[in-house]
Amino acid sequence: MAEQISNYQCPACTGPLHFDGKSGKLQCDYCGSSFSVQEIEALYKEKDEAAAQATAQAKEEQGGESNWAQAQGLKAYNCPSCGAELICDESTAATSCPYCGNPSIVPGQLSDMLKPDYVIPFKLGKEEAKAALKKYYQGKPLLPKAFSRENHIEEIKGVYVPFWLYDGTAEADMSFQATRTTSVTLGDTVTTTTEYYNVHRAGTVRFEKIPVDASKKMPDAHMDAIEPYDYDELKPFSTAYLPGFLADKYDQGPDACSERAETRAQNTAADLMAQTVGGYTSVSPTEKHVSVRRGKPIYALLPVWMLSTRWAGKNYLFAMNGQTGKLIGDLPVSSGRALAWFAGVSAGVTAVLSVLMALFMN
Amino acid sequence: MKKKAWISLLLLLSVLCCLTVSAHAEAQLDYVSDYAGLLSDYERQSLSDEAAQLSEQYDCGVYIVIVGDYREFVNGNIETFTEEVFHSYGLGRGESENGVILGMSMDDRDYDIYAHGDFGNYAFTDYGKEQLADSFLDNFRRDDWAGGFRDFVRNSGELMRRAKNGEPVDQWISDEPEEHFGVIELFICLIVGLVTGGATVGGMKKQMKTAVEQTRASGYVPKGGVNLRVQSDQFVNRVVTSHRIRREQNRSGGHYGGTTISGSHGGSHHSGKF
Repeated sequence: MAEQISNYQCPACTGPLHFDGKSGKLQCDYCGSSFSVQEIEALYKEKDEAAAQATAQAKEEQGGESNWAQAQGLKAYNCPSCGAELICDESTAATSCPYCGNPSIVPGQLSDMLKPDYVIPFKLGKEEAKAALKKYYQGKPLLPKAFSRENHIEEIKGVYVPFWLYDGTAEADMSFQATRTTSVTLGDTVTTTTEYYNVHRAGTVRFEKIPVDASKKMPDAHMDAIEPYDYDELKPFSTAYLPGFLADKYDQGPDACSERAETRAQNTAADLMAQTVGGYTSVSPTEKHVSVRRGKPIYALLPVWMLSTRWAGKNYLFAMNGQTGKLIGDLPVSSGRALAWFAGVSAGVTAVLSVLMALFMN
Repeated sequence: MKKKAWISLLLLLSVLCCLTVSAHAEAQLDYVSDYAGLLSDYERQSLSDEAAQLSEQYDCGVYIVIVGDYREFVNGNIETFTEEVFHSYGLGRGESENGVILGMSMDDRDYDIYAHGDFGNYAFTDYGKEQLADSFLDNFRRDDWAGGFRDFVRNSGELMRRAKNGEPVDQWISDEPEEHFGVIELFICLIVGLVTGGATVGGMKKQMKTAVEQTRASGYVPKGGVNLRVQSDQFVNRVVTSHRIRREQNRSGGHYGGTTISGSHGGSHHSGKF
């Protein structure tokens, strides 16, 4: 029976290959040879198809996994390199063997209906992610000193996260009440003229590729905050981009995720309509109707570096856009430092203001 | 060229004659005289009519004289010019020649408001003239000449109305010593300090929490992706309200600014650039 997992081996020395973001090629860890994505695709096409078929067959038979793994909602595969049993999530599509370290792909997770349309390959590596985190700690006056000193990265992993990219058109129809006020003072009489207007705006706003992560495992806030991605670098999907990184197939369908994209589109359309109302003293919306017509979503894998650290018994999770390098994550706040800054700024401003006021008044 | 010079000379001579000879003659100038060509005939006429009506109503003349360069007519400054025009043409109404005139010289953008007569000086106090100038200077800075002159005429009417009611627009000047820095001021500084401190630390705390869900998608609107189909702004109504700034009752230890009389004719000026 064919293996459900395939690993890309160097055609020259059979060493494991991994995708290198900088060169955009697959490189051999051992002999240093590099191969283009197209070369490896052609070489491993048959192997991948056989692995995908084996996965489909195993699903039908339901006998490919140990009973324990099945009960936990996990899947068991055998590493094609060393034969060790790999226990993975149901959604795992790319991983590495914990015993021999070889990158492994589960093509069946990303074939047929589950095959992503596009992928943005990793451009930045592990070292860049570490450096970005170090830089992120700088210029944060409220960060406890001990955090950056004692803090160590516990885990760092490059993950191709499944995303739905939604196209759509928002239809907005909004009414506002606006006022224009002018005031003239003559002597001790103030004359105020207020003009009232009924303002109506209606139109359409087109959206392209609003991303929503389709993985339950990934925190939405982290995935949203590392936007945007440069879609000019979207490539037709190939499993050859995956070796060396983790990848998941989606576990939330396009309908389940669409609400988040639609809410964002509705809010933006309303903002854009409101922005066209200008030249008034005050504007307040009286009616708002915004609906979104959604197009067919695109399924894409986008590169994310996930970094986790632990400090004072608490986990801190950071995410970095694997294409642009934008890094985000919540940091602890030192109460002592916050208090010191509050007291310092308050005292400083009070003192300066008092001196200025005293000079001005006396 | 020669012809032009002759016309200029004749014009100058005739104006100088008028200024010197007709000291007590009947008013020969219109209420609005525009020698700089800023106004259309219609604008000049409608302003003139409005000024005439107010002059009649309050028995105090309201005049506007605009020239290219006042130095062609008098030796002195813009104040000398308006004063000379006012008196040489016998402007003003009533026994004490009550009136106000706005003189403008376009070359150096000089203006002067000159008030004369018992009622004129009572109605157009120093503060009142200052307020009057404020009301038209913003128009002049935008070269909105007709709008500025309309403001001058109408607000002159308002100043005269207030004076007629015994409440000329004037400024209260306190004789009491200015307040010194005390507990209240210190308390205000402290509040501002605390608010600034809170805002600064709040901003720093925000910097520590960057994993935030997005609520907008403006970055995903392509170029030309906004199509505005309906754009209507419909005027509904206009509400005009006036209120008086409350003056302290039983004021003591101070006085109103009043009117500073200057020059030999007993008038008062407010001049500047526009």
